[in-house]
Amino acid sequence: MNDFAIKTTGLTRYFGGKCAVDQVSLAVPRGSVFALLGRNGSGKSTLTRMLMGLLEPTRGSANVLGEDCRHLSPAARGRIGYVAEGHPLIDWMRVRDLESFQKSFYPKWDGRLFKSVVDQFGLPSDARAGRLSRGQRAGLSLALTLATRPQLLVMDDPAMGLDPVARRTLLEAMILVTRNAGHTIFFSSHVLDDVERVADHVAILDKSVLRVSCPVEFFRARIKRLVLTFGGTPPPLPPIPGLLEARRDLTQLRLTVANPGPELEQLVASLGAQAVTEVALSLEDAVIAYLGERGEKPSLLQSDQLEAVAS
Amino acid sequence: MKAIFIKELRENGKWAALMLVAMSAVLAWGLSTRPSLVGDFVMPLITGCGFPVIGFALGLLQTLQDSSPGRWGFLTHRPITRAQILSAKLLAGICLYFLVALIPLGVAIYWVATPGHVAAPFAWQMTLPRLADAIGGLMWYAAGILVGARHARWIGSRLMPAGTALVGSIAALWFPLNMGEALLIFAIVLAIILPGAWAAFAGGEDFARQPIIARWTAGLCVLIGLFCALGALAGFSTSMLRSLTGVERDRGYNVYEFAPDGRMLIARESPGIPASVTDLQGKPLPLLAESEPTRANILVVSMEDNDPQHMSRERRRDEQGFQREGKYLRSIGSNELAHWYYVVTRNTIEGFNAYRREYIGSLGLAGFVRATGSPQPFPEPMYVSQDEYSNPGIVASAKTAYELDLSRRTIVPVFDAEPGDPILIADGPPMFYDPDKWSVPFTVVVTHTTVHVFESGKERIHTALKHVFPETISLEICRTSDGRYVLAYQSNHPEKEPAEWVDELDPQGRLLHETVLPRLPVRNSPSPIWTNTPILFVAPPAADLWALIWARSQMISDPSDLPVTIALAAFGLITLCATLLVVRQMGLSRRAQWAWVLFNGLLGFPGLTLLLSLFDRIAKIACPSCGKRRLVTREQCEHCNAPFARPAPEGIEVFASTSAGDK
Amino acid sequence: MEFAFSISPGTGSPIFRQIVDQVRLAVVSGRLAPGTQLPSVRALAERLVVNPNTVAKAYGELSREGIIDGQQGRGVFIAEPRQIYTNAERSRRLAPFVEALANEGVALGFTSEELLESLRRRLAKMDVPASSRRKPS
Repeated sequence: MNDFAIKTTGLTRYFGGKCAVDQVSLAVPRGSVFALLGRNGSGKSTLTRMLMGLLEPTRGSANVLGEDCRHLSPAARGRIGYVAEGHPLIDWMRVRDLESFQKSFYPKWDGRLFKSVVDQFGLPSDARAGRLSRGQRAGLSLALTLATRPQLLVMDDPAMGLDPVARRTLLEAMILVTRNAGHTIFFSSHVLDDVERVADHVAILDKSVLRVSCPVEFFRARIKRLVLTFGGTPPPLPPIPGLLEARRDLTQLRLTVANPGPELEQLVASLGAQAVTEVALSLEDAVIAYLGERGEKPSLLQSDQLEAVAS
Repeated sequence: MKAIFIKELRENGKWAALMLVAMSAVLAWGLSTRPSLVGDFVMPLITGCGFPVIGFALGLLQTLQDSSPGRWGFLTHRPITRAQILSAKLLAGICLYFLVALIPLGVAIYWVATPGHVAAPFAWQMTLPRLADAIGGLMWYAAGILVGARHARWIGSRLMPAGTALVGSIAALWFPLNMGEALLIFAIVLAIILPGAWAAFAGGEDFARQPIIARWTAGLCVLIGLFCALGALAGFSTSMLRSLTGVERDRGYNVYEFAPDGRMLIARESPGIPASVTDLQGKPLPLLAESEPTRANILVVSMEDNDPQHMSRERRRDEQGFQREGKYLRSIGSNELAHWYYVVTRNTIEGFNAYRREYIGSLGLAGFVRATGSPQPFPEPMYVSQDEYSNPGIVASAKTAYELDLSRRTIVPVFDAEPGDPILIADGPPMFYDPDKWSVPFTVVVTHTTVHVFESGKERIHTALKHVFPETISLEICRTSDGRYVLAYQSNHPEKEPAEWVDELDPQGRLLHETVLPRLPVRNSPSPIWTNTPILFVAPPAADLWALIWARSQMISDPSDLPVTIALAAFGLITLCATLLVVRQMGLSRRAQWAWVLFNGLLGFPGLTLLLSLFDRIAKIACPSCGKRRLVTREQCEHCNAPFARPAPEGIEVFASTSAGDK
Repeated sequence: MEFAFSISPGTGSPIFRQIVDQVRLAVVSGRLAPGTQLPSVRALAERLVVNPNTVAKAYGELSREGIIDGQQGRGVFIAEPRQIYTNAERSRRLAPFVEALANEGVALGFTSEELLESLRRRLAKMDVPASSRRKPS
């Protein structure tokens, strides 16, 4: 248990008859920066709330910092920093009120760190939390959480609604946490460029099912994009194992495949393309291909519902 | 914890201030309308409704404001237990509540107690009912916490625990004879509400995992509320049905009345129709001249024992209930100049100047003693009628009867009881009312054996008291224009014969003749049983069964009886079947399921509603091994013990054996 | 540190590879001289706002390729260029490319002067020094 900050076993949550999280088993190594990705509604927030003990799992279990998520002790909660979706705060309190409120619970409060983050976001100490802008709220939430010096920092979509400057500051704050080798970050995000910068592990929830959990480079290495150029119209596609998406153009087929194996080369060869080029993928492209609909599907721009582009 | 306490104070302080101002305003208005702490209606209504509203609102505010998921997460995700958070909240809430309740009340009490404000006596015991109302608001506060904290399935069920507080408030209004009993009621209700509230807040939303005491008490709170709500609904429906069928219109009363010459008359009254008066044979009376009265003025004297030792508990509750004004003071006589009161707690008769609202003085054994002296208590407690409008010019203790003249401020003893034959009651015509319309020319002192009639301060006649309580409930006395007396004893049993025993006496008190009057028919068509069906559907099936059996035993047969019985039986079966279906989806153990089925057999429809209110339906999906539907919460299938299948892989999964970092 | 690293996520190239390529190119073109100190893993990570493991991975690869020297407690420095391969090994590795260039050039009808001129021009564009001190391995 010392290896992992978070370890879940078959964690499941149903809302009525609808499954929001389906038997998720993942392990977040201690000291890592772990990004949880997935489309909206794929179960990321539900999973995070279960880990924090705010939602009862329907089935399964999870260990957070060695304790069962259903019965987190106050001491464990003191070592976990949690920024929930939307950066909730007590809106009527002023910044300084929230500081003294938060401070009274944590003996290890780092006042200088709080002040640095607050200054970085430009928060006046007498401003009411409810009147702050999105970015400022995020900054305040972050400051209140970071200053408690948590061993595990859990953030649910912390970059939501933030302008680029605030996002950059958020990233800097996350790098700051990595100064301490034993401290772990577990967060979810849609800003994949930032995830590429700062995460070393990634997990992907696809419609409540966990389909990816590995180091970032491991994931990247197993997604391959090939562009097949043909003389005329590309032929119809045979079933390709691990096919994530296929895009068809006038003379080209763009295939994105997961876990490419030796049979892929043979299949590609059998299509008889004039040229086969491998295209390097950013993390964002890989994740988008992963989370989109499987198989062949035109993009919005290729939709036949739209008016033809004047050439 | 201190931080939470201060946060609660600051967060709810503005609401508390608002409520304090509102309560002060309402109390001020109430005192301007009826300047009395215990006077019926105004103050008791204000405190009896106001404090519950304040308590409930505070409890709701404290829980609802922190109940949104974001706020709740923010509040609870810190190194502190939920129990500690709740303790801090409760402490803050109770402090705020008492500030909001006691400051305006304290000012009101101080104002009333200060001489010159209220033309009525003040005794510190008079503050107790209002203080009890204030303390009773704590039940509502606890109910507010339970309502706000409970994760309820539908909005109606969420509010149900308020019914428990309502029952508590009503019980504290009717039953207690003193503050101690009221506090006991509050303690019992709090003991029922608080465990559920505690568990709802500190225990998390999974009801099935809360400790058993919390579940049972929370369930009880919801059940009481359900009974209140369903009962109110059913009662309303029943009265609607009855008014629709027009049953009420056929009711009528027949009563005996006195003619000025001492004959007995019968008056037939129906709602909406003026009364018709006939003689005993039913012949209408000859028309009299406009100025002559058709009925004689009579004195109605209660036969019940006024000695608190011998009073029945029901009467003691009615007369001396803790919340009744009569426990503290009784109005003896009021006009525009002065108000006179008998102060029960001090056993004195005190008068107040109506304009200057000052204490004038007291009437006692030493006659009238001015305000400079302290009020003089009577040696024994006086029996003074509760009825504000009777204001007789005579009062009595068990030993002595005194004639009062409040205008001349005199009090004269007129009768001393024999030892062993204490006075039951002394009564007379009301003072300060129009003498022609209301008064009789005599006063009466009734001991346990004798009726003494006084006129102008001297005893005229006395006669044996022939029929006593509990056989009789009251005595009506009339004096005819030629000096005879007619005494009519009213029977206490509404079904037994006779209705009245009438004695006619000559001016010297000798018996002229005795009559016995039979029961007059009551035109009272009972509503058909089917109008009661709403209530019958809400009541437990056992109660329904008993009600139907009782109706049969009383030979109250009704053509609509049989269809109703069949409908009730069918409804009971449907409820039971519904319970059987529903209970299987709640993920309860077999034993719990059977317990609920039995429980609902006893409780009927409210029991089913309770089941639906307490538990969530747990989803079921098809088992991958055996195909039957199984609960999603169990690792093992109930039927075949197989686990759930893992989600089907799509060939695109990327998993690495996790290590700390990838170099 | 005069040398300006810049990375951009969202391109096809992983960030650690971008760092490796930039250092490699800078060393080869002479912009980073041997002995120059590079920022520590943490310092560079914080400057670029990336995960330190990424920087560590880049430095690890550069170290394996012999481009940098990491000295515990003293910092990271550009290494003296040294051959990983023996002279014989280097000649053996170059041989097929020399063969291919010669064959292709002859087939296209270039003279040896023209071939050498093309090669020289290309190397000049790459900023390769005309001659360098090589340490024997």
